[in-house]
Amino acid sequence: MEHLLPALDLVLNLNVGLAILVGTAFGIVMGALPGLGTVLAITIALPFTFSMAPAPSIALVLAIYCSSVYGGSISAILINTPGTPQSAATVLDGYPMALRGDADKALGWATIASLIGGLFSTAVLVMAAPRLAQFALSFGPIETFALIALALTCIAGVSRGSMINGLLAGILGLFLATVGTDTMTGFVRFDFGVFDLAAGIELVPLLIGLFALTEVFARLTMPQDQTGDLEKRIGFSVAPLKEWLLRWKTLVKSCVIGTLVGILPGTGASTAAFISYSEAKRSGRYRDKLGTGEPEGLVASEASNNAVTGGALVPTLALGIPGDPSTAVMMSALIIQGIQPGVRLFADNPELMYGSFIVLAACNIVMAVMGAAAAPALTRILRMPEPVLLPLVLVLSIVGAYGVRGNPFDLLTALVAGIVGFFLRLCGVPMAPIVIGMVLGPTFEENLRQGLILTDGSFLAFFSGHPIAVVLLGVTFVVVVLALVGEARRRGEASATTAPIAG
Amino acid sequence: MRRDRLDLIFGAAMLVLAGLLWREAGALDAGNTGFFGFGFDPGFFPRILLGFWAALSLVVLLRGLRGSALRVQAPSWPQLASLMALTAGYVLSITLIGFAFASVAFLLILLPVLGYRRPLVVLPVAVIFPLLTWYVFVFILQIILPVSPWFDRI
Repeated sequence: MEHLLPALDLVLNLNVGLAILVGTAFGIVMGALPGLGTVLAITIALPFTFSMAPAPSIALVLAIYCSSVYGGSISAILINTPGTPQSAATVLDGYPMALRGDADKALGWATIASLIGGLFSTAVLVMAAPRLAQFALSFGPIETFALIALALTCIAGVSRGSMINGLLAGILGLFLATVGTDTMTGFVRFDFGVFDLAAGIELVPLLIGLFALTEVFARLTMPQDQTGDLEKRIGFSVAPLKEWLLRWKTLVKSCVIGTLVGILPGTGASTAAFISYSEAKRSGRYRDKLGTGEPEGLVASEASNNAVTGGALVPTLALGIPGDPSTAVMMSALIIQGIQPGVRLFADNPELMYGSFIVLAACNIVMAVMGAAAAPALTRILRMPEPVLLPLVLVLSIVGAYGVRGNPFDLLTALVAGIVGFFLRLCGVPMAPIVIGMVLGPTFEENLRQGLILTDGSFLAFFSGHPIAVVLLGVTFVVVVLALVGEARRRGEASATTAPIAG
Repeated sequence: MRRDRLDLIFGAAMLVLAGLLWREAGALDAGNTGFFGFGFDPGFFPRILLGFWAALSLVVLLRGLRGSALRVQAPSWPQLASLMALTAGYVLSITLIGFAFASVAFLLILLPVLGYRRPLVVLPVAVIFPLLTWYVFVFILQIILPVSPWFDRI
């Protein structure tokens, strides 16, 4: 507490304020543009921090970090294209809300949930950073494998219509993640002699193809229902407190899940969002409506992915271990300023660290205000005639796919994912499980194989001497059984009617 | 379209694909027994996935054989074919004539094809939007986009 006043003195100045404003605006735009995202946004800003003082430079990077995660939800809600992979779960309920004419409410739910998630994790960061970092070290490969197994159960939750098709899509996603160089042996898998496949399939072009391109193809060639005639409300609308209170459990759980997952190195915001979504699907008040445009799904995804921002800073700052590429780039910003993250950081630079926490809280508040201010202009996009809007979405998606790493092969990835994805949708295969498999696949495989090395190839040994893993795998088993029972109950209820294609 | 026929096609296609990929995965363990003799070969995890893949494909196939009266909305096939062909042409032309020119041409063709033919809207939208996107990417974000053979930066 004695460091709080000097920390306030350090950050309460015009340069820090300007850095937060500029960083937040830039981060929201970069997050909202499909294919760009957090790492690229921070990388672009990094050269500007060379000539800045430590406090404003950290403020700039933190503002970009927070707001780019939030920005991804804007395009996810408005055009069914997650601007960043972290917002992939936001699409599931955000876009159906926008289709229903409730884009203003969807943005309201997403913004406030992001704000609460971000502030919650900041508070955790302030109070418990060094101790939590030590706890994270008790997560070995077996515990991480069990955690990812639990996250994969959300495939059952997003497989509306046919769980078999959803599971098959999830397997397809996990398989696509194995294409390219095997991280454990360096052996190239399933490249079929194509040089570009040796580096694996890039996630963002695949996301763009599966969500944006298939949606454009479907909307322009399928008979549409009455949604086109609905009044599309523009602006920003925050739901009444009563509505929030009805979903408070999901909000709190998602904040906790996001923060804890953020603390674990190598997991990330996409994983956290899907774990929270899975938990909301299992225990949420409106679990049966999730995936149809239910705000609880938005709350789960957005509170969680923004709670990761504070959580991910715990190992980065307290241990010097960056959990993902975004925090790795942020760590370089600190090192540029001559600050070495690690166990000595809090002892050596207490004012700067506590100042950073204050800045992080301020960034979340500025992010929510800017999001609300920009919403009326953003939601106007939906009032454009579809034959004009959708081709523009196509162009923006294609350039986004290219912009990830400037490789023309990514254009082909997006195109093929779009065409194949459309036919998969026609066959009743949901898109979300493919993405869930792609996101979680590499961590899942790596930790399974590392765990098997530790146990001399015995999977049964995962259940002895690993209490955290046993609990997580037990919950996974229960969730799978409940999902199968639910599916069995629903079977036979389907009537002989015309079904919409999967989304 | 009938759902059971789609299930038949989808299940059969996925089953064949699983078989082909299994052959590829089987070749992965030749001379690659894990990491310096530890652990499992690179084909270990893909083969587990392909086992589940094949089993689930079989379930879909059997569901299709069992028959169902459920129907699925069909797209307008000519419109779908033209839209996909135009998009594929656009993606390929980006690397040939650059992002800006390919995008302008794509929008000038696609908007009228989709039934939007007001020149006062089509022309400005088709020209201004791609150029604005190009400017933001190249000059503000410093991301190099494919260029045409005629100019240095566009």
